[in-house]
Amino acid sequence: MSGELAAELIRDLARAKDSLPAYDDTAVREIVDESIALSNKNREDISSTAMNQLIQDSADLNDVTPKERSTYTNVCLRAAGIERNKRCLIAYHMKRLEKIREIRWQGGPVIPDHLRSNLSASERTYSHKYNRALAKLMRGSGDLDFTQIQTPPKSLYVEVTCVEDVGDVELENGDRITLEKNSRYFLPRANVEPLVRQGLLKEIQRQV
Amino acid sequence: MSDLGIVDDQSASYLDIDDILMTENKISCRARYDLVDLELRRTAEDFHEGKKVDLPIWMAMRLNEFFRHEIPKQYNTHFQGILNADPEVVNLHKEGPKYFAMGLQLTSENFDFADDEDIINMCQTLLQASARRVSWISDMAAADHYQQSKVDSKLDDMEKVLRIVGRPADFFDGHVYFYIRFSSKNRERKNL
Repeated sequence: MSGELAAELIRDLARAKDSLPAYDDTAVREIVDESIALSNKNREDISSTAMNQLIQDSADLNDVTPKERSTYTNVCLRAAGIERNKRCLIAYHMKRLEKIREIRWQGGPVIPDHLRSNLSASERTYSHKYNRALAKLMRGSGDLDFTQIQTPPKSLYVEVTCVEDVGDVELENGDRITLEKNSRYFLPRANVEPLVRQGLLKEIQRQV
Repeated sequence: MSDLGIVDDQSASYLDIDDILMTENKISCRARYDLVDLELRRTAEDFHEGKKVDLPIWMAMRLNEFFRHEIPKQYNTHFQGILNADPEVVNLHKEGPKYFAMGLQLTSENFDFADDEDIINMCQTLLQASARRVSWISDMAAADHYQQSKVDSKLDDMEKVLRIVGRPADFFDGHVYFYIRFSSKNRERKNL
């Protein structure tokens, strides 16, 4: 029955849940081939005499011969199959793109190798372009890493106090800064995040 | 995610994987006419009027012109009785993992069931069953692991999602949403 291949494709994707399985190039091509075959058969049938008879007379399905009726039914059947294949193919590709975006947001700009090998060539291009666009956006918003922070920060600079005496530390943007215990600093948020995560700095909550 | 709201709007659910999977479920159909050389299965077949075949929902809906549909067992009046009596006990995962989504799909006018009354009542039944089960699920959310796994095995896909979302407030939202969809379908069917 037509639609089986497409159903298998979607089921495989659904079964993988959160991970991204390898791009099933064979299945996609088979489904496309099936759709082309169906459409060719339909083109034949539509120009056949049986169909012309039906269309000309606009008869009730009860009043035509079983042969004519069945030709029409087969045409509808194949059309439904083609549309179903199309729907499954589009949904398959769109879902994979969605997962690629998720990978960026949860995993960071570098895709791990085992996932990378599961992408098709076009998907690798998509991932690359998406990362570039996201990076450009983040850079333009004060160098904030959107993918790490939960809520939009109120300000780009944040006041921090030093928890431990560390001495000289090199920040993300190359500046060197001396961190002394219990002294306060006013720094860009982008530089502060990694140091806070390491436990060296603590953010001072402003009472506004 | 099994977002039930999109079952109504054909264009909205187009890309939804869950909807595609749900429409693969088979439904029993009978031919309306005598048909020859039908290419439903691998070899061309002849269908006399009334011959039964199981078709996936997506196909059954498109071939509405040629086939009459039968309500699946898990939605008929008998099963509705069971659901009405004791909804928390029923294992909806077994009855088709996407029980509620499919139920909602069956109310679409692309289906031609012999028994319209059944479908109208079904909307009502599913609505009430879902309400009681949702409050049962949210009550059990506080229970221990073992109890929860027992509950889990009885949930259909929509309920599983509700449970993961998990807070009583969200349950309530989901439930209200569901109520609106089902009661509007209810009214539509009655007016047909």
